[in-house]
Amino acid sequence: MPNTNILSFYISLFFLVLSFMLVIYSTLYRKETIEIRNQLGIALSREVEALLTINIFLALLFTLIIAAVIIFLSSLVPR
Amino acid sequence: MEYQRSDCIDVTEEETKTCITLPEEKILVCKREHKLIPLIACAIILFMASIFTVSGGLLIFLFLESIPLLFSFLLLMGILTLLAVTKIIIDWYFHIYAITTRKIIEIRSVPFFGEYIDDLFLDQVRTTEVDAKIPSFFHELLNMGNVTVGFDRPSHDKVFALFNISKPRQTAMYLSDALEELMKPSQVWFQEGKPNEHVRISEDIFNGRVANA
Repeated sequence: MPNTNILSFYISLFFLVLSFMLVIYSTLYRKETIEIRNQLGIALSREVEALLTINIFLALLFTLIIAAVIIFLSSLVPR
Repeated sequence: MEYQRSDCIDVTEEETKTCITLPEEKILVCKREHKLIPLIACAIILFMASIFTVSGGLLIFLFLESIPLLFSFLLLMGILTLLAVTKIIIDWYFHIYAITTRKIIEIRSVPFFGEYIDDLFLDQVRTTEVDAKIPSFFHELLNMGNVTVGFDRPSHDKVFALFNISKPRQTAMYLSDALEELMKPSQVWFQEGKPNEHVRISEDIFNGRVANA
């Protein structure tokens, strides 16, 4: 059981890194999209802008939840 | 078949202003791909993501027996799927075909992955044909297809194609009429009622004497 918990802990850590990278990606993606909108002058609809913002918030929220899961798993790992 | 200008404008007036570079320029056609194209892509992504999530979730649950880890995996897959769906929508949104009274332009911008802008000035070419093609029953059912505009300029060996747009027949007919009207005043081959002077000139200079005069 402890070995499984350690493995779960490290896999969760990997998931956390991945999801944090996705938060950065979604933030930069929104910035890039707005830059393209300004360059080309193509107006973004409200729905699309909302989708881009929701992406960032959800990615951040999920990352925080994964971080909480890691804290929970770390309490199970024997010291 | 009846057609209206609104059949050829998918993009709002606010957005179409970007394609106009001269005060007297007017938008003839401005379209994106059919809305079903990103929907199909999203459905494929969701299907693949659900298969991957279920199989990965089962592996985690069976071999690691960790509910928190399974929960983390589901959240990660959720983020990935959401980002993939967003990318498909944004790619579709920034892919526009516009035909104005001055030029034909295709804008395709993919954030982080590049940009493609192809424009062609109508005063430099002669439009020879405008074709509508509905390749399959599926396309016919959805009133979706391709419209191609052909040119005679020797250096421009390709046709300009608007792929998978809605109402292709109406668009092609409207475009054909609009381009014909547009080229009439400026091009010599549209001038009617004039004598065939080119033939007479060639006859005049043949062997240094006037033939059939």
